[in-house]
Amino acid sequence: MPKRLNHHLEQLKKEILLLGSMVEDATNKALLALADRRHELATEVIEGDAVVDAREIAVEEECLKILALHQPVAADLRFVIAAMKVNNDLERVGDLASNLAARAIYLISEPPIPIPVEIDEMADSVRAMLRDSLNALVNRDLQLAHKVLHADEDVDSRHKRIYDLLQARMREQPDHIERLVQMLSVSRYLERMADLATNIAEDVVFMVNGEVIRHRPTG
Amino acid sequence: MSALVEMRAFTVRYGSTLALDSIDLDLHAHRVTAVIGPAGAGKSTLLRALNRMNELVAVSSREGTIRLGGVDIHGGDIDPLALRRRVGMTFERPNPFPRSIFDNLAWGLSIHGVDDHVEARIEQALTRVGLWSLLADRLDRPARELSLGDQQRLCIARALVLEPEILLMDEPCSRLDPTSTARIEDLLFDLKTATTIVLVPHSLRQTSRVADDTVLLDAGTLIEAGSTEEMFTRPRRARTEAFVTGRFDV
Repeated sequence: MPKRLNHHLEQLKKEILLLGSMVEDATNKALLALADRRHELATEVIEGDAVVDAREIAVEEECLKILALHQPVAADLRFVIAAMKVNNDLERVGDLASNLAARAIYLISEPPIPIPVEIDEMADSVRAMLRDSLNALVNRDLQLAHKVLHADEDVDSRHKRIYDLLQARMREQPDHIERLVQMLSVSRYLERMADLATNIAEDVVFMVNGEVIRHRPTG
Repeated sequence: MSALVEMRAFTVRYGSTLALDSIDLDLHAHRVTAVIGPAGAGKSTLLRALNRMNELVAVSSREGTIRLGGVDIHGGDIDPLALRRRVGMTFERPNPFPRSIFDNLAWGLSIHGVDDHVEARIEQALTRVGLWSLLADRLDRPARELSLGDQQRLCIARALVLEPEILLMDEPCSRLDPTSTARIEDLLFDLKTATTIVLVPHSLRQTSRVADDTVLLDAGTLIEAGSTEEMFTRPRRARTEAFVTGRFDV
């Protein structure tokens, strides 16, 4: 592979990974803020979103540079296209981490209510999906990408259970409704994050073998 | 970042023809700079100004200054031959002498009076262009037996053996096949750690692939100069945009 193109592609890979680790970190902090009622952590996540946004723009410029300077083809082209899409998805994960932190701030300001254990389990799955999707991207690992795709079904069904559970609690404890609605939002943000990790995994499949698997039922 | 080469109000005429019109340009060390533009833009003239090769054309005249490392290259105490050692050059057509591979490299050293470590210098120059392993055991063979691509790499080695500060390359790949072209392009990437390269590329695609900085000339006028990335993604001038997108209609 031409050395200068290779150099620019490696640089892009590093930029994507850096952005990935930033949003992963933001997600972890937002969840910790919620679990441990730590206001300062939640604020840190919200303030840090501007840095994530700036990194997203830097990655996009890196992609634009490679397209303009090298006119990559085949596997190189698919990697740059995948990187552009993954970049958007990661930025959206960053936004959701920020939304999570905002819900945490509200819940911390109110008397505590129990956090459904399913939310913890769901958070663990989402974190694993994000990590796996990025590893799949960097290592061109199809098997890992498919693992992420399957994990999404599990997250969706957990979200459904949490919805039912919180709805039942709302009926039982109408005076907790506002907090329970916020808790439901937490579950919804996690579910959206899992969708974005799924998008990344789909882009990995496209990058590795050029196959578009979006909008297909998983099986 | 202070520039290695500073060109100020530099003008070249061939007889009554204006080849370069009051060019102000900085070239930076350890970068590959591409000089691009339509035919007759003044690309080769600009390249040849840097080692005063234009002076070999009897009807040429010049105004303005070029400073290399802060020193005026047209100063009274500058020997053009010594300048050409510091600013080496390769051409479109590989032009090895009808001598052995070894002699092709030893020649430059001998005319510049370098007689120490000749063999080591030759080995190093051939290694830098990736030819040493291929040619080490046949240095006595005629240089013109080599493929065109290898002849061009040999000519680059012949320039490098004098350890120039700047290497001028006038369309070094225009006569080469894609594989040899890719080899030379990779070579540019490696060479810039030790030298500074000013290149007239043979295509826009080559410009964007290899150059860190780009200078666009048209009819002897500098249209735009800047980082290649900027010139190929968001040029400042409409004429640059038109040229890099292939819509330059003049």
